[in-house]
Amino acid sequence: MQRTRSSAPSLRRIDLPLVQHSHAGLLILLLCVVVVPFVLSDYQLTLFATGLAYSVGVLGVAVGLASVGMLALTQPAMMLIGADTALVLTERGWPFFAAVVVAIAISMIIALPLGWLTSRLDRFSFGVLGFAFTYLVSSLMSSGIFVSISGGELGKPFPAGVIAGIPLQQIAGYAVVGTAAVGSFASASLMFRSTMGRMLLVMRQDDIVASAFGVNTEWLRIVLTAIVSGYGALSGILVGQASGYVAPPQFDVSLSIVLLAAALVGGAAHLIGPFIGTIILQVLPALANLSQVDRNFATGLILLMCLILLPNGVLGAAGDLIRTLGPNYPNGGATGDG
Amino acid sequence: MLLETLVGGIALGFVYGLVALTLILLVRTTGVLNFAAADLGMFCAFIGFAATATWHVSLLLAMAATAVMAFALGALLYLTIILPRTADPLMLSLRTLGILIVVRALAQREWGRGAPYEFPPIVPDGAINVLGLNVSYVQIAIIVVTFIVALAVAMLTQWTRIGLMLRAISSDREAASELGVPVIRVDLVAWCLATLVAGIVGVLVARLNYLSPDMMQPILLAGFAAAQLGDMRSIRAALPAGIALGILQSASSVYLNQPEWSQVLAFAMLAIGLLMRSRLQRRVVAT
Repeated sequence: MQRTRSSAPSLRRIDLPLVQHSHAGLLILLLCVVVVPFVLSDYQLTLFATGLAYSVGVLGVAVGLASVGMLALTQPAMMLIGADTALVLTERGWPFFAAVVVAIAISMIIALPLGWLTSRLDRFSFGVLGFAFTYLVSSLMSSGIFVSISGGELGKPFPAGVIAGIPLQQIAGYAVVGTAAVGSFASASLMFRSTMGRMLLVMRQDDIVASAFGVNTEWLRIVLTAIVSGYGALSGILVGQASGYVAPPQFDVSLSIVLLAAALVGGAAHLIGPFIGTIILQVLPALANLSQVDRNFATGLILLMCLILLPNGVLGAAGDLIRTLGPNYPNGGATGDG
Repeated sequence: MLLETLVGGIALGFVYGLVALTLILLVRTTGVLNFAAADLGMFCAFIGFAATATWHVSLLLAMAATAVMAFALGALLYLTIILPRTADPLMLSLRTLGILIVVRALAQREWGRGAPYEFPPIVPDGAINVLGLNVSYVQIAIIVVTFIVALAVAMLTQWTRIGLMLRAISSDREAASELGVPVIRVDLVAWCLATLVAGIVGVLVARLNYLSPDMMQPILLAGFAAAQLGDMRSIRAALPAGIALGILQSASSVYLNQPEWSQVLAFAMLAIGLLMRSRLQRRVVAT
């Protein structure tokens, strides 16, 4: 008999698991960040720090995806804007911390019109627009009117920041990246536990119901887009800080897909899902010395396998497995995996 | 100068229209937005190129093989990536992002080092003079091929049994399924057709510009814009939108002397198209 698919092309609802955040996830992340410098070599630590920096951008994508199903393909553009803004400000003698804060603020402001668009477009359309926005920003920064700021295709060295007279190099640099990453994950967890987080989760189910309960859905979408972009900008700055370099081709549309893939592979609904996803797709291939092309190939394959076989990501699958094997685990509850 | 820019823009616009056609074909029937549409075309163009450059097959045979490969590639992607574990259209569209990155990485790995390549001349080099205007054979070929493809797709959907099924599914997927339309078979045909059209686009772009793994990035953006301005439903609306965008882009790169403005224009038209479409949908819902 012919198999048929009854699903009509509807964009109202999406097949994403409910957000499952717990303190255990945050503790695991903190433990990793603290233990890793004692285990890895200097080179490996630099790769891990860069991975941690990317995981903040992935966290932004996961927050948008898990809360209202937003496809934040704009994230590499925001990372580039954040990194280049901080770079320009530090070159002009601004203190590192102030440059970071202003760069994040500028990225969030740039994201406001995009946020306005999210409230008017369906998820598909916003994804397409984000894809195009990243392409546009990356090509404008690579060649053309912003070359003097970004250094063009070759990019620019990102000077190590200085906080309280301490240059952020080697272990001090790693400490700052690690602290910022853990802080970002903690703030995401807090956001989902707050009133705003609960409102976002209602919006994910149904905008009209959320509006009926007095939620200003349009405003909340704008705020969420700004927050997601803020994570992106911070991630871009941390990538510059960790790797010592920022070049526009690093932040092209391929990275949009890699960040989204990392969120989905790790498990967008779980707090440390973005961290796990980044380790799988960014850090391990870098440690294995794979070329960029091979890394992209592997990322695409893993994304496809994950979307088909593990739609809830690695952590979601692990949680399902624990629930299946262990009779003491309640069905549908948080698994405590973070 | 102005008229020649216009002709160049029109030819480019026809390419955008063809990309829009591949996108619309899949969105209307399967609900899936194929982010990999343009890059699949690039991959097919590389297969044609490899057939002539590496295996020294005649150009005609290479183009025929490319068409067959494109058709088969569409079937393979649908059966192995889209069909297993049915999900909502958004999640299925995310799978096409995975296809995009795999296809581009494969092309970069195989052919990236020597890129960009010059595609073998599917039409002779040179131009003819039409009313004092120099129109290249490639530009004429693009316009003619686009008309033939659009006409063929229109005839297929209007006059054949499979076309009737395609229209039934795009009208109401669930009802069509209940009435016995073989949804999977029709989806498969839609994927094969869309990939075939993408392959044609890839060959045309490779001949118009150059052949390289990243040659389709700007084309995809403009194709999205054209498709959105056609409300993701109508190729009759998408084609003029693509032509308008092509003309604007050509004019901007010539007269503003800043090639990147053409991308800004494409982005602006995409945003406008999306907003117009969204407003239209809201109005339909309200009435």
